[in-house]
Amino acid sequence: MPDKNDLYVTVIAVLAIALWFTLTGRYSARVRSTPDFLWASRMAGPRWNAAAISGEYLSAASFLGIAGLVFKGGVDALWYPVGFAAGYLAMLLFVAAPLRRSGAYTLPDFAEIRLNCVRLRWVCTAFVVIIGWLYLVPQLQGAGLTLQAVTDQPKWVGATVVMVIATFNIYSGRLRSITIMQAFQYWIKLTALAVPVFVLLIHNAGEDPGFRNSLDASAPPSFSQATEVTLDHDVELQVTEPVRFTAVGRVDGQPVQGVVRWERDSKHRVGKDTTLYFDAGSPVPVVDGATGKNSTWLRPMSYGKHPLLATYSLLVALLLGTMGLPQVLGRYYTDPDGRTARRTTLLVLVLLGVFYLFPTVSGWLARLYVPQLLVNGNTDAALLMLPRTALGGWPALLLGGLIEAGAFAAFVSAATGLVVSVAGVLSTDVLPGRLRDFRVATLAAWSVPLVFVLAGSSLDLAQGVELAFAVAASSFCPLLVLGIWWRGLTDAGAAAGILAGGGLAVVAVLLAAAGVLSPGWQTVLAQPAVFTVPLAFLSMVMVSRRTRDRVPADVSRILLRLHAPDRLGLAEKRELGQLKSRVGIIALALSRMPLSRISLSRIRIGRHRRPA
Amino acid sequence: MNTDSLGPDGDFGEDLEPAIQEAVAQAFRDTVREENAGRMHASEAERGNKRQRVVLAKRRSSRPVVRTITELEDQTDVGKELASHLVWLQLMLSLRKMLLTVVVLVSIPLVFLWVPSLGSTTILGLRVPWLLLGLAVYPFFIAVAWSYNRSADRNEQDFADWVGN
Repeated sequence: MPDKNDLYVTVIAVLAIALWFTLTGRYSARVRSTPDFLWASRMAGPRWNAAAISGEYLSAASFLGIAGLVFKGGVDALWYPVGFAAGYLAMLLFVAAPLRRSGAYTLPDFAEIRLNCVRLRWVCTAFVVIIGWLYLVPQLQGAGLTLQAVTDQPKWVGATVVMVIATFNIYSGRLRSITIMQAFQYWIKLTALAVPVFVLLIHNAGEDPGFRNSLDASAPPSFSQATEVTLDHDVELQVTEPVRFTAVGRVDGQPVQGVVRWERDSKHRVGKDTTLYFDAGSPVPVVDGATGKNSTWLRPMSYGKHPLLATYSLLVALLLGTMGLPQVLGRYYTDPDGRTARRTTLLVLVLLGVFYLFPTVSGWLARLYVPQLLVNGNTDAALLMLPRTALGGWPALLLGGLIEAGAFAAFVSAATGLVVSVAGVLSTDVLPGRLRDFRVATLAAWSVPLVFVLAGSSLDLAQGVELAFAVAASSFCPLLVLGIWWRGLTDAGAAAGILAGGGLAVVAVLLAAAGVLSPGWQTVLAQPAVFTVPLAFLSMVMVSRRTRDRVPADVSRILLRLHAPDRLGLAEKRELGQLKSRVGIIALALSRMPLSRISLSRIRIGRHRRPA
Repeated sequence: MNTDSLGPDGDFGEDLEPAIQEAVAQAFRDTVREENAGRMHASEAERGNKRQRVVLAKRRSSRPVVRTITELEDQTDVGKELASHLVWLQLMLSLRKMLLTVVVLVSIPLVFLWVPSLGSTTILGLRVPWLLLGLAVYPFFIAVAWSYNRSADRNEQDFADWVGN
């Protein structure tokens, strides 16, 4: 159970991250004029920009979630990191270079540049907000879980800490750090994960071979030492080997205080606040939904109810969802041209490939060292508890602190980027644009995810993030792909596709997150992409065909601009300082000066019309 | 359709329909004719007014480039055809790479399902599924991305060179 040292280490880790964000913000805020900004970002080159993109992309799901899912579900969970990386491959093949040449800074920008329709812009805006909110939930949830696991604080404390750090950054006008600072984020996260994993692997090599090979056994994991588990919520446990333990609390609806025996292949309900005492060597009963036996855990296609359907749907969501995430797109603006955007994306794939080796290994280590987390189902905390259980003493504190710092860096950077995207869109397109409203909008951007977190979501972090990907894949992916490659797309078609595919995905995702469905429906609706993405594409094409007269007159010119080689100089020559996009202007302005200096109403904002 | 002709190795100019080649060649000839006509006017004027024509730089090589780029931007039929040919070429390239990726990814779970023994086979002490999904896919992605970048760059290079000639 948490002691004083854990609390100190956590406070130090969180303060260090807060300080880091403040200092980088200070540095970025000094870079004020447009030439400075361009110099700072363009001099960075694709290598730095790739690290910056990866740094922003690796959120709670990548840092804690994947390790937790691998720990719980085994090799099938590896489809998550595979999908997260494959998303950038799809982005490279269909979107990266043309999107950069379009000069769009946000997704609504792209819609307006390509189809010149204000109403479509609103639809896109709404989906940016929805996706941002869905993506924010796991960040806050992860923060709450981290502090709960390590220091036993209630969940809202961690969520509040992230909100305070991020809001402070935003209010003091230091939101989007320049590329180089953002690029360090990647290296911080990689170090915070790789160093503990290496130390643990070395430690593991010195262990008894019988223990090291216990993952091959056709048995559930077992407790390596006498363990006490207190449940913080009701759970249903599945038992694959007979187990005997002492319990105080409620088991199967009966008050219990004494020895309990469970038979092979049975299921039992254990009430909240019950404490279970296991002897060393006792098999671990695992929470319903996790894989019980180690040998099954090692084998593919063993996790969940419809493994094939679930795998494919996950793959569709992650493969096609990445390109539609609101915070990814703006980063590409740093690249000077389309060709550099492609090289940057290739480097992003390299960086992600390196990073994703570590959550996999740590999930595997967690199965050996922290099986007690399978009892209460807090599998997302696996990485955090690993050094504490495996090492003990000051190395545990040091490495534990490092992991916490990396995790908070992930929460804060992802949350800041998302809140800026959502608040920017809310304050410009939804609320009347004044300074006061940006602050109100920031609070509004936090409010909805906070309600979700407090209501308590039963989903794992990586699964929560996947919902955001599913909605992005069903709404913005068809818009981008068809918009870039098909001249027949119309504004009516785009809106219809986004509303049909994205709307249905949102409904499915909300039902899944509410956890009110039967297990079969839960599997299908928690991963709706395999149905909603084709629906979105289909309705977009069909409605566009029916409204052929609405194809923009200058479609050939726009497509040429998107695809012509950079050295012909046909791409729209818009520098950051000349951005006409409202969100772009505001994000840019805010990134360069303290908020108190900006009067948003003074920024002349016009819907840009192309010359006839 | 003969996909080879759309391949990244194909010369851009050779891929074009003969009609377009002819049209661009015509545009080029028009340009030359106009230029010659201009010179003739100049020499007539010379005889009358005794003015010297001063040539500061030869424009022969730059004229057609500007001409073709203008043609692209002005969306003449030639320009439109040129642009849509490039888009088609790039789209086919992206689709081919995507197809390769999707086929590989989709077949992995199917193979695991049909050959369950593969799940417990080990290479270098690691199980094949873990090796495949935890390690091998990333170099595969990087290889696909790298070869795509090369081909896409070459397509653009060829297009730009061809426009420039």
